[in-house]
Amino acid sequence: MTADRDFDRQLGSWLDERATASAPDRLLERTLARVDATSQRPGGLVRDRGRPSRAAGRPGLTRARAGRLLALTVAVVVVAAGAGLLLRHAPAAIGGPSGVPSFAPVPSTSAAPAASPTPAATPTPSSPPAPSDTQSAVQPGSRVFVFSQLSGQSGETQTLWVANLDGTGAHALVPGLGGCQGMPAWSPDGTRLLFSRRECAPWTSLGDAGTRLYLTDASGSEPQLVDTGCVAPCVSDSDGAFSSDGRRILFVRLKSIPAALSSATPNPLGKVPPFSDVRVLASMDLATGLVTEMGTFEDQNPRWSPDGTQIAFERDTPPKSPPDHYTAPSAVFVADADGRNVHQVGPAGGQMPGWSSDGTRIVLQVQRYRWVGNVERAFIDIYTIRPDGTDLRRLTTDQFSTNPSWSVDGRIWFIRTPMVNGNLRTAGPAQRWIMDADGGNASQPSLPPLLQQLPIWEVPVAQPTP
Amino acid sequence: VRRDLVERARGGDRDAFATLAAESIGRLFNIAHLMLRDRDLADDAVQETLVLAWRDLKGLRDLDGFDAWLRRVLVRCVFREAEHERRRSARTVDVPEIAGHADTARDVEDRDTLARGFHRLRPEHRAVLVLHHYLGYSDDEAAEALSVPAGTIKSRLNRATSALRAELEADTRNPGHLSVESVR
Repeated sequence: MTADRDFDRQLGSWLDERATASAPDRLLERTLARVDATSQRPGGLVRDRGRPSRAAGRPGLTRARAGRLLALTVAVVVVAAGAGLLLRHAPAAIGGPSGVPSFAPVPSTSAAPAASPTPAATPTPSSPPAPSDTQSAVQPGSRVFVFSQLSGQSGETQTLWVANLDGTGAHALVPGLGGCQGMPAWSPDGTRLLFSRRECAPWTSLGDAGTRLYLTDASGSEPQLVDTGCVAPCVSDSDGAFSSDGRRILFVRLKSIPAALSSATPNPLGKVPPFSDVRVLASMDLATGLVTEMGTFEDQNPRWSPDGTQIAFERDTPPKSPPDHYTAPSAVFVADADGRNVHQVGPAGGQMPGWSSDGTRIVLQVQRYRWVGNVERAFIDIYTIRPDGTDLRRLTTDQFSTNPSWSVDGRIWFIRTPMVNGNLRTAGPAQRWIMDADGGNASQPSLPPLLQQLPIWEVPVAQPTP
Repeated sequence: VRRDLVERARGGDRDAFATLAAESIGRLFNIAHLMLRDRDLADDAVQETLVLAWRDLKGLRDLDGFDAWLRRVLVRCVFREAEHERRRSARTVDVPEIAGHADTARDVEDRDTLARGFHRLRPEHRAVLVLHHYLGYSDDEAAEALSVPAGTIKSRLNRATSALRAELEADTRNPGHLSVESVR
């Protein structure tokens, strides 16, 4: 504890010391010039507590008030088989343990903004692509991107979107739900979509307290809160995925437990935090509503293997420090679905694991730092590896390729941000590329600007059933 | 006196607001600079904060809560700047050497190490550390400033501290450098 206090005191002292930067010249004058050009709003229109509106994110209320601020993370995940976006799916009546339906229906989405007929061919990074005429703009039997995009008048919400491979037909999946949505996963039959949602706030991170799981059909209608029974000490359920048979969902549960009552996990330096937020892997039987907690999981970004038997995830690790470089403080690990048999796959610095559709390989990015002169720079490349940790293959060598994800046809999407010698000040705009699973035939497809820059995940769209 | 200034500014007195802005701008800039690691971004965030504060001031009901309200507006503006920057996917930050400090060489080295570790943290981690250790916010106050549950603050503070410690551990094995870049 003495070491902790010393560290806190040192940090506080350092922050005080650092907080002596003088404001830039004429900042006050420049600011007041802008103030002079700004009219005051009438009183009573703003909150003075700085808190999100209680109405934020609720369906049936205006999007402009939905969520106070946007989220840090705009990337989304989707792994899956078919999506059946045209289907009007009516979720099966799924009873909880007491026979009560496990899904609490969300009120009507009738307040969703009217769709614009404007095609989404040229969306800009600063605004969502314009919705297309109807959701049927996404054609059955095609391939689509799913991505999460900031929206609202000033980027106040984070909404799930789908778009055709050429960027057309883009539309918000559940526009009336509001809040910060992300971490989507399709059911194996492509008829249901599971995702996480919480009220937006500064520095929102899905998985923080208040996050809940939602389920919708593939057309986005009738989103429903999944009643996982998250009550204290549970504070959030997030990052859900379907089991391979579609009968269970798997998710990460955050529990807030006083350290004295928990077997708190030491941090990388061996310190036990005074307050323990424990993450556990959990599953829920969709037929019975029974939730089973499977063990602690102090890691990030779990990705279920296609057959549901294994999980790949990121784990924070103490940075290494070889003479001339060290890695990002993370690595990719694989474990059985019950949390056992944990083993590292790939080198230190591994991040963003993703399973190939046949489960035989995992794609990941590896971040390393290296000193160039007296400047420390980050270099990232893309690798694949078998889930047992063998057969590591480096697919890119430019050192600025990031955000890998599998395409439906077994290729790998990624983003290149060209720069000179790792100097980020020379970085050009992000470019969407695709390559074969062995790194060959890399090319830059023609995509709208938005899809050039956002991390995206491609899914096939199932043919509608008669 | 300050309450009177706030009341006059709320009533549309531009000079009163200018006085409040002049009193606050240095501290606002320091907070933004700590969180954003970049003077230009901090400059933008402070400008935006004061413009929004002027625009929305008529809605402020608790005159004594002006400073806390202003900091909450700042946090939101800092976040927007961080988000804009994050979309560009990368940041380069030069950490100036701390020169002329009266501490021992070892202390200077410690502080320089701390600077590199702190600057490599994720924005949300820097924010919670600044709120807690610099502004002295309680968990509840920090939670209100960031509009997140108190449980999230505890979790984030723990993770930020752990991350910073890990960075420092790594850095002590590779000392003597003055600048850092990071990708987030």
